[in-house]
Amino acid sequence: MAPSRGLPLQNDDDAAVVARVLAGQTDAYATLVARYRSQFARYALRMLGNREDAEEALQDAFVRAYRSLTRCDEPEKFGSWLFRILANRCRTAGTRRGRREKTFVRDEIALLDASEDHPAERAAWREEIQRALMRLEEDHREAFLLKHVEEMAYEEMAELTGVGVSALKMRVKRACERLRSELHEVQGG
Amino acid sequence: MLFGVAAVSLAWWAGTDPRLTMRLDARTNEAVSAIVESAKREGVPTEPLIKKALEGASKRAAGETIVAVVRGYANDLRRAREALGPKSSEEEVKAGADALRAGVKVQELERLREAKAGQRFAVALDAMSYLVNRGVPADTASSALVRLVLASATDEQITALRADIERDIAGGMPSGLSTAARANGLEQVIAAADENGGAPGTALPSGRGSIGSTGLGVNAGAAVQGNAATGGLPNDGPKPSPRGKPKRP
Amino acid sequence: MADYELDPFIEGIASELRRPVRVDARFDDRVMAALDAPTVIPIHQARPRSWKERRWTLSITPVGGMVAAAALFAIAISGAKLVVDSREAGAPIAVATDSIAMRNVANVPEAPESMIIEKQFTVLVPGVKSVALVGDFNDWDVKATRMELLSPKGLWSVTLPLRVGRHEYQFVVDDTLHITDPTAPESSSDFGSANSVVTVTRRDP
Repeated sequence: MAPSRGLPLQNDDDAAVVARVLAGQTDAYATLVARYRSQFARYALRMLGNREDAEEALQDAFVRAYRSLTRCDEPEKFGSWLFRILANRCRTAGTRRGRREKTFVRDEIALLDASEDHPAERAAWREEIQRALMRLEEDHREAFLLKHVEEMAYEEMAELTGVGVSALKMRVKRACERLRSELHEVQGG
Repeated sequence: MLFGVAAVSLAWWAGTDPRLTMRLDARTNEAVSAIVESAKREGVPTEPLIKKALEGASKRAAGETIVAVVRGYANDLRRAREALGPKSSEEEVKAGADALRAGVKVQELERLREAKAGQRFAVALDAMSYLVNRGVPADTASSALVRLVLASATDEQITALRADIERDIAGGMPSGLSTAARANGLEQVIAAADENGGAPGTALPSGRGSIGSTGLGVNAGAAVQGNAATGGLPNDGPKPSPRGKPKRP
Repeated sequence: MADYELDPFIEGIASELRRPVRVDARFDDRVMAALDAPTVIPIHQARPRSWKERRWTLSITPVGGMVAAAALFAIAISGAKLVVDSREAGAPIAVATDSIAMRNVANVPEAPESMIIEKQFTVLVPGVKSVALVGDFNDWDVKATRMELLSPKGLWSVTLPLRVGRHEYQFVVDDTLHITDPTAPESSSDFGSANSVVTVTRRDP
């Protein structure tokens, strides 16, 4: 399902599902996977720039979360907790990146969206955006994505990353400046 | 102890099919499972509903769409079951629902109740859906096949009919025309067999040959109208032409 | 103090980036498999197997009663470790709740032999990495029925046992693109892309 504004990182039902998993009903974990994978896949993909790395990081995060589930103190905030794990995975994965240039955007074209006007142009524009995003410094990209794509508040971001609010604001500002300068030329009329 | 473990597992599994849990997001799963549960309570086949949801998942449809489609399909299954009667099998109910979705009217399904005891009609219902997919107007397809079922056509005869129509279409014949001609031809054969005291189907050639002696062939457009055994074909003015061009979504 | 200045250009970029992203249908299964769960869970094949190896036809109807079901569970649970270990060998088990039945990929519990016919599907798609067959006979699961490349011209093929009757299906190219069978009739799909239809009939006696 298409995610709405922001991440629904708090969900009472998650607490019930976590409880079931901890009680031995491993299958129930599939509910959590199904619930969060699309939203988090988007973040991982924007952060890492290609599908394989993104899926690897995402799968890794889910497995780690499962294995340390007993340490999730607030199971109704399983989403936040999982996202923190994912953000860490993405930072680690970033260091191994560089080999795969092809972005995921091409795959998206094949998946219809015939309702759009000029799909080819939109696709090209999206590729440019992703390329520009990948040219940002990792910290800046992360901050930009959390602020503008995941639409988090700075306090949430600070809790997630462990970085102070003013430092995060600076990173977002730098990211915006860079993206603006790189993409304004490309966009044209 | 053995039974204790089993009871716990069964109780837990009563809630939702694991295939749905694995492939749908939680909200969609909940809604679909509720529809499946209530269908089960009403004695409506549930496997087609589950498969429909999985089809939607495979095609990456939105959750709301999947729920709406499954709900609609459950309604069609209910209507088919009501129309075909309580003795109808799950297979028949599903085939009936598919026929309704293809555009066949529920009154046509109800007519099938008049069939002789022991007559099954899943094959005929599937043939209706097939013909409608091939461009035959739903009324033409359903009335032709209902007549054949009521005349006690066997599954094999209907299968052969469908194969003959398929060949006619591949040869360029309009599907509605072929349907009318072939269905009429088969009715003649059955009627003749009845008169001669033989069970329907005993004198029928295999699917490779032509039904009866009308010898419908590739260029038989004109010939059909000339050779039609009884007085005239139903004037349904079939509009759709055979779909020879492959389609890709 | 505002968090940030609203810049329409940035917002435009952000809204593009907010577009939902599709995840591989196998993803959930991969995660669950990686958890190393000890209980009996739906397990799908990782690699194509000949249809003979995939036949599991043990079935127990609800009429069989709780006792039979309980016995089956006992077997299933005690044998779970064995099942999970042989997962690598590709032995599939699907567990359904409407009847306690072990089904093979073609979903044909309790069907007499003559009701199951082997059907071959072929399609010509050059220049792709994989083609899978999905349909109502395999729960529309892209992992269940991988097709084999028979020729460098791009002829893909698979043969599997199907129950007599009407089936809807599609081919899935590179796990992303759904296409219909150009040689088969189509039904309109409720989900926006047409399905191909095959009617499987009993063999001539």
